[in-house]
Amino acid sequence: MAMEFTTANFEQEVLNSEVPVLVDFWATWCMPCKMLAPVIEELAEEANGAYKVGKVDVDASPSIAAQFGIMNIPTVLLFKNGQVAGKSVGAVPKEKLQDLLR
Amino acid sequence: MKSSTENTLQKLIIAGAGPAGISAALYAVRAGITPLILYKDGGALEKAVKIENYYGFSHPISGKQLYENGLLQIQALSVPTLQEELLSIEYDGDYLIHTALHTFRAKSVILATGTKRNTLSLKELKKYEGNGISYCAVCDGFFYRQKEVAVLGNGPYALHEARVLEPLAKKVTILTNGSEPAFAAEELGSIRVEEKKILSARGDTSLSHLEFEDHTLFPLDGLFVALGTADSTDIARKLGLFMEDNHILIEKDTSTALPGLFAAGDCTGGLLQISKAVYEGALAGTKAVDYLRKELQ
Repeated sequence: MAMEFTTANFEQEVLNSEVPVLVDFWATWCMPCKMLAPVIEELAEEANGAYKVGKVDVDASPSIAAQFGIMNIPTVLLFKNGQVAGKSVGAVPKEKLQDLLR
Repeated sequence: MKSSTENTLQKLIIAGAGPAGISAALYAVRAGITPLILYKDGGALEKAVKIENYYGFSHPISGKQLYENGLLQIQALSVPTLQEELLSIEYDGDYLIHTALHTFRAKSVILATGTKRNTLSLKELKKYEGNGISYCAVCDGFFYRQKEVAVLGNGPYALHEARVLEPLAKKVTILTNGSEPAFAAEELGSIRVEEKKILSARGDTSLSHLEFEDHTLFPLDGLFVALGTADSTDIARKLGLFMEDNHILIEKDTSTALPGLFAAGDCTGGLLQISKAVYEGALAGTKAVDYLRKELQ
């Protein structure tokens, strides 16, 4: 299961993570986000501890979205050592997100 | 939004009346399902002066003639065609297809409205993608609450996008980039229109200004691109279909990630050729009927 990131756990789970973290910025009303959701879940299932996968609901945590300048959803950010190391905008096939992780 | 009538449920709607759309309709109707075809015009085909590399024409035919023949061919089979510009498609288990005048509900849709050949050449558009440039008002309007936004375009599609943004943003301006507005002024409400030609897009990390040809600056927080008509890729992007290089990624059988939604022709990339559009259209028409037979059992 993909994790739920909020302002309460973002720093600890994402910024201070020892492994890369893939973060999906989404909203319940966003159709392309719904289409991307199964891809995010598959990546979470396949992570095996090599990386983390989680989601930020931009309605619930607008400050995180603002902090990272999210202006489109879905946007997936890859964090490494607390820094943004990759970005993908829109609904994309799984391979595109796997490329980010490589 | 303007009130629109919701027609009875259609089995199959085909968007587009070029080689892909008409071929899809031919194969669907032969297989026993009469589609409804929604179309705007002959797109890229209509503009082709001569078709010289398509099977069976010893004398070149004009693209316009071929397009008109296709429409006549399908109308002779009593397939209903409606010349209304497609604005958007939503999915709630069925497909809700919005034109400027109507909303239709359908079980299956074939997207075959081609691709834009003449997108704006502002190279800055690419630079600010995700940083102030958006192609989807319904997805990204949320991030521009109480901000100043503009919609690039001059047709009903631009007006449609502007209307989505109107209740959210502080100010919405349609930028026609030198073209005449092709929508009714009385439908604008609080939306403004600026017809000046755009020279460049500016900003540090994100878009902050546009410069017009007369060197005046237009400050804005976001620019929503809605040029021309909503083509298959605009619609697919909002539905969340997987895209690559502005093409819809389809399976070998022309199906997409949404059940009952197929795509054919230029919008799926590859050879922008009639032969390829005809093949994919034929396949999409056949597969849509297969899908409907299973669904309607």
